Amino acid sequence: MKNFTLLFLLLMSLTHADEFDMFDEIDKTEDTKAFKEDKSFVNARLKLSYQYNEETESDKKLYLNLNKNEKNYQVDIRIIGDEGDSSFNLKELYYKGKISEKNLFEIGRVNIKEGVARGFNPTDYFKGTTSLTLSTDPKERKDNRLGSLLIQDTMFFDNMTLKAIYSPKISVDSDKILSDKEHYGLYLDETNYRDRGSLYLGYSGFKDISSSMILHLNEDDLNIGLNLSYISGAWIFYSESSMKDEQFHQSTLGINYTSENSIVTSLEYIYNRDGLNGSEWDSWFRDIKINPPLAREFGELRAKVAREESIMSRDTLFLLSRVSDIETNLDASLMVWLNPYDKSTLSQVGLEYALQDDIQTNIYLRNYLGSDDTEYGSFADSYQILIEGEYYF
Amino acid sequence: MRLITTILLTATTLFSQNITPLEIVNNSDKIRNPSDSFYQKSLITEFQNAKKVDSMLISIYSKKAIDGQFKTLVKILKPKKDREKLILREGNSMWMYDPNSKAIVQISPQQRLMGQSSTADVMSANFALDYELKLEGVESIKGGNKKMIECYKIAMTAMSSDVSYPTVEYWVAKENFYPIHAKFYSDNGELLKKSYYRKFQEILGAVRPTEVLIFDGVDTNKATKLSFSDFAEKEIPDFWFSKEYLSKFREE
Repeated sequence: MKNFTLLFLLLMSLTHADEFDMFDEIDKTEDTKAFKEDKSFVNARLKLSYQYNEETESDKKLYLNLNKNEKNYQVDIRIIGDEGDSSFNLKELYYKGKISEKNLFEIGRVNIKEGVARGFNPTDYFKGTTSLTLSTDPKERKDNRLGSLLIQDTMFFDNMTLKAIYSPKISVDSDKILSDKEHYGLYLDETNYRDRGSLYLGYSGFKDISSSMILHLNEDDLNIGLNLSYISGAWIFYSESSMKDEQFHQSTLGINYTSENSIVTSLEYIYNRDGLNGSEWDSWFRDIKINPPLAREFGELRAKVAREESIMSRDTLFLLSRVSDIETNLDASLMVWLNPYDKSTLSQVGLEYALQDDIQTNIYLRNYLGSDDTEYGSFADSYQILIEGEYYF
Repeated sequence: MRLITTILLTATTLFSQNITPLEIVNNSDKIRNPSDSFYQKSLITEFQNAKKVDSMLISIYSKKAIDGQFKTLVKILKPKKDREKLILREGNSMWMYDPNSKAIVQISPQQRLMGQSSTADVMSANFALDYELKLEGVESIKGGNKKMIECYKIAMTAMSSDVSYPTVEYWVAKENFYPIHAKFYSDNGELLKKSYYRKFQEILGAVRPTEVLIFDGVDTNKATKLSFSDFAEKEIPDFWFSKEYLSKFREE
């Protein structure tokens, strides 16, 4: 019996030989300083980007983001340089206070975000026309946008959160003093162009389900928003809807799946009642062929929709797939927007590589596929290459 | 060989019938989780062929919920590009908050955090609540200190699909219920990763592991080390574990 036991233990140790050989080597890398935090006065990021466009002029940009999040205040400044032109943007500046332990308030310029979807958020009511950059990447759009001047109060209960927000209309005349449209400004006429208010109720008492309801009043327009998400193992199912005039106005239905090798994929169907359906798309392109100057009007409409972070088509499919560490410090992503009427697509393949802890390099290849009379095929460029370098201070 | 192993396990089981697998895993859970409400820092280091290739520093706030499972809030301290991002586990739901975009997205516990570690790996958890437990016997295995340790071998089967790993083999020291070693398997029985609990130290009233080494199930040249420090008992308000609090979070 003793011999059998020894044989068993020997075989056990042989199976583990590889790992145990590594223990000493790993222990040699012990670095007690690694536990020390990098504390700096302000979190700063400098980004340089160069976009090569197939047909139109290439685009070079410089971004400087400065962010400070303190106990009683938060400030976020975005400086964007665009080939000789530059703008200074106060994205956020607000005071954080406490009425009681579970009742917190904020007052100032705050960037309010709501919604469970990744591609398009129908219940993100405070976005306005406040995008600082136009991008097809939802991550970029959500990041580069101005907050609204508002007051927000949040109360926490067991499994429940109640929020009340009021954002006043600021007269356009006063904004002329505060903003120079070319270079700097608060752009209050864009962020606070109407009196707006929201009541938010979040509930997490049901197992695996997260839900929230929002009543949003935009002067006379009442919107009712509903966010629901359900998790089951590696699957997440979610829906985000906004109702107006007793009808669904905008909706997103989505599925998210994380595979065993950590590929995270989201697929979303997006509905926008105000968007163009198949025949309306056809009609635009037919009219432009007959009357070419209409192309300018169409382009302006497109830019306006992009600045509003909205969706041009009545129905859209969105896919986002991401895999981390395909090689050490290298992440890859695939994003696809599909117009189901004309089958045109916008796809983007991205590689993001961390050269070191504070330097990141990214490359994105974008392809617009479809004929000239389709949503994505009608863009001037059929492909773009975006190269970015980021330094974190 | 299988027959010999079975005989050995069966024989040793006869001597360990006084204790249930639930008691073993409960005792081990109490060693892994310092208290009902606590704070700690964790340094996650990724290795390739024993060479350091990447690292991340996080702070972790954990509190036991009414159901006995832990709610956890993680704040990323390093690297700079991820600084101040937050990850929240509230029941089975996990959320990630990016302070730059202020966007909150729901993520799966299986999502990779860094190297071989998933987000679930850095979240405090009571195994006893998540798994059906079966005591398979007692066997001696080589632990994280490279010494042979007599252990209870527990077969753990997830009680719901929400648990990150469907099946786990878990070795707990017979003498003191220290967690020693675990193997994590996928639905189809593929070995995903294996972990060794190491560097036991006196912390908050008991001797606990301060390091977990995780090896890839297929390629053992890929390893991730979770080192823990700065343990402290801490009163944490329940609303810190609400996703609506993420945009307001300030460490105090």
